[in-house]
Amino acid sequence: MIRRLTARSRLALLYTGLVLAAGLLLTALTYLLLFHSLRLRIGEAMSKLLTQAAPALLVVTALAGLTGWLVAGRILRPIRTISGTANRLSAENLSERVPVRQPADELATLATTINGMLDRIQHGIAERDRVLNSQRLFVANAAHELRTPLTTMRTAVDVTLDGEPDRAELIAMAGDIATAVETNQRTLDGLLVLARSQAGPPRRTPVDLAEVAAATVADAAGRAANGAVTLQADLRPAPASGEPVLLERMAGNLLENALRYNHAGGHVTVTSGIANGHAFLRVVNTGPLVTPEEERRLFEPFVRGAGNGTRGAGLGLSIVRAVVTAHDGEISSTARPTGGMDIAVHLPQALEEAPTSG
Amino acid sequence: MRVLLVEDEQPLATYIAAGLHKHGCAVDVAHDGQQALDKCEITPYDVVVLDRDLPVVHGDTVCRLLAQRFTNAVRITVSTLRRKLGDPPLIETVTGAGYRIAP
Repeated sequence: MIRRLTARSRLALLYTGLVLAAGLLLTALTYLLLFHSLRLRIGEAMSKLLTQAAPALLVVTALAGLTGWLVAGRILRPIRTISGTANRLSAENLSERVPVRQPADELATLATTINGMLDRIQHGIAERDRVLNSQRLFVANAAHELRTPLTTMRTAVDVTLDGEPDRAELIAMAGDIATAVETNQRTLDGLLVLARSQAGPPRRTPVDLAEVAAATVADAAGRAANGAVTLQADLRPAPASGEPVLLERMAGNLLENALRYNHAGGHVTVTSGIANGHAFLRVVNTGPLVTPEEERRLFEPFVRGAGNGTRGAGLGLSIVRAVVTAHDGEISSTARPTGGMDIAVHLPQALEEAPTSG
Repeated sequence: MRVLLVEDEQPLATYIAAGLHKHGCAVDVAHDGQQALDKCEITPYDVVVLDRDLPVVHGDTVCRLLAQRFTNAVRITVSTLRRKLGDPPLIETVTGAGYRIAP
C-alpha cells in the first residue's frame, strides 16, 4: 500500500511516523523514569528526570535521524537513477531511457519528462545526420557532373595529339572541347542559382506570375517550334511577391523541362491565376510516361529522365523546388496517365497594400 | 586485339574508341550495361574497358557477371570517374583521365 502513495505523501508519512515514534518513545522513557523516580523524593526525582531525559532525547533523535535518512534515501532513489542514466547517455548512445515507476507521482513525471526530452534530442540528431549525408551526396554528385566533361576534354586532347593530327581533327577537337566547357558552365551556373535560392529569404518585391510566365513563354516559342511542340498559355493575374530573377528562373526551368521531356506533336499548356488564396503557375506537358520511381526523384539534383536530345544540367527542377521553398510556397506534381507531367507552383498571394493616408 | 568499351558518355566513348583504334585495337562500344553483356555473349573480347556508372545494368554487376562467365578469358579494366564514399575497390581501378593499353 505504501507504493501507491505519491513521493510527497510518503515523505509526509515518514515525518509524521518518525515524530509519532519519537514522541511515543520519549513518553515511554519518561514514564519509566518517573516510575522509578517516584520511589525517591520529589526534588531528587525532578533532577534525576532531567539528567536522564536529556540522553533519552538525544538517543531518540539520533534513531529518528538514522531511520529518516534511510527511508528518504529509498524514496528519492529514482532521482539517482535519472542522474545515472543521464550520465551514461552520449551523442553516440541515445537509446537508453529512464525507467518510469508506479505510482504516477512527481518523480514519475520527472522521469517521463526527461524521456520525452531524450526522444526529441535523438530525433534532432537523426535529422542532422540525414541532412549531412544528403549534403555529402550532393557534393559528390556535383563533383562527378563537373568532372565528366573535363575527362572528355582531357581525353579529346590526349587522343587527338597522339600521333599527327590534321587540321580537321584539330578543329573537331576544339569543337568538342567547346561543348564540354559549355556543359560545365551550365552546371556551375545551375549550382550557383541553387545555392542562391537556398541562401535565405529573398527580397520581396511585387511580382505577377502571369507576367513572368508570359515572358518565359515568349522566350520558349522558338524552342517549342523546333521540337514540334504546341505551346499554349492561359494566364490570369497571379500577384505574388518575391525576387523577380529567381521567379523568372523558376518559370523558365519549368517550361524548359516541359519542352525537353516531350515528343514531336505534343503540347505544353501554361496557366496562372489565383486559387484558394494562392497565386499559382501551372505547366502541363505531354511526353513519355513517367515511372513512379522517376516521379519520386523528379526534384532531386542531377537526376535526369530520358529526354529527347540535349541533356540539361540536371538541376532544373531542384532549382524550382528551392526557389518555391524560399518563397514559402508549395509544389504539386502529378504524372499524367497518358504521359508527361502536371506541375503546379503555389505561392502566397501578395495582398494589395492599403494606400497610406496623408 | 578486340576491345569492348563500355561507356555511357557519348563524346568520351567516341574519343576513347578513336584512341584505342590508333593503337591497333578493334573496338566495339556499348552504352549501357545490358548492351555490354549482350555483346560479350556474341563476341569474344580480349579486353573490356568498363565504366562503373552505367544505365540499365550497373558496371559493378556487369563486372561480376563477366568474371563469373568468362573466368580467365577476358581482362577487365574498370575505368571510373566516381569514387563513392566507402566503396571497396572491385578490381584495379583506373581513373578515366588516363588509361593504359596492356599488350
